[in-house]
Amino acid sequence: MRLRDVMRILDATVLTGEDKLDQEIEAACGCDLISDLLAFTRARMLVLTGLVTPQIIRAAEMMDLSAIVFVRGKKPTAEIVSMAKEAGIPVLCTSYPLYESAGLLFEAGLRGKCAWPGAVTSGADAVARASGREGGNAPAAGGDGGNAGDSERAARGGPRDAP
Amino acid sequence: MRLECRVTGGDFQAAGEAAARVKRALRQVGVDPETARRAAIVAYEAEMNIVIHASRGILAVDISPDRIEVAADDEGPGIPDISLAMQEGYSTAPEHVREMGFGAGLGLPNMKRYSDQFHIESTVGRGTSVRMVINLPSKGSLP
Repeated sequence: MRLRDVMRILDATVLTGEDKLDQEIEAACGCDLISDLLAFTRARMLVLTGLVTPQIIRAAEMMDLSAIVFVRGKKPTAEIVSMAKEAGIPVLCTSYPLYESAGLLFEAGLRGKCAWPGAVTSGADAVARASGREGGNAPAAGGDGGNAGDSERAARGGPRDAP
Repeated sequence: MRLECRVTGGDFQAAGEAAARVKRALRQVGVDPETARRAAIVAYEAEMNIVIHASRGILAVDISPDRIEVAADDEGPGIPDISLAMQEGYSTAPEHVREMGFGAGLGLPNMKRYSDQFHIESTVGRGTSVRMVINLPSKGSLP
């Protein structure tokens, strides 16, 4: 999806980077620790965070991240916005909390792809694993929300989950 | 080409500026984005360690045709147990630093993860030196 879609889905305002709203966002993560950001994210990701400090902009610049969305209605200072402008990193603000922001974007098809230790590579993988299938079948489950939902329900009602 | 930046302990306003300068310099001389990103991350982590833990230090970057060398030397408390400090999740960062999103105990492990060579020395009561090498992809990353 494009950054413009992120803005619409999260009902977000753009504080800087209006000129980059048409850039494609391939993956996102939610993160409130700069060290985690530095350890596990990949270049060109969108970051959802409640951490409103100048350091998040600096870290994003070092990591080549594509944009920052401040969640839970947090407002960065003018200094933070001007740092982001100088670094060429779009900054958006949404009133949704981190969990809901992530959920809304995930539901709209934006996946994680973080290199978190032990992390699955995509939501489709997670659903596939939950339903007992191997992650290797992910392409079959990916891209089709209906199927993914079915297998998730199947997993929840499956015998392994029975008390 | 050599770039040297002074880093002041406790100065969270300026923290990250040295690493940002390093990254811009690397991009200017034509280092590919992925290698520049790795070098910027280790420089940033090293700089933040000086800001968080030491009283002052120098971040130096040497760029040669085949490698980028990042060195951080500080005057500070030093590290009593380096193998413990290298463990993910171990941190001695104070509470006010954690509130800023640091202190997850990933700084040194990150430096090691993103570099091709990593060396650390420390003397308690004097300071810490970290040296990291990032190899440049062969043939002509630099013009």
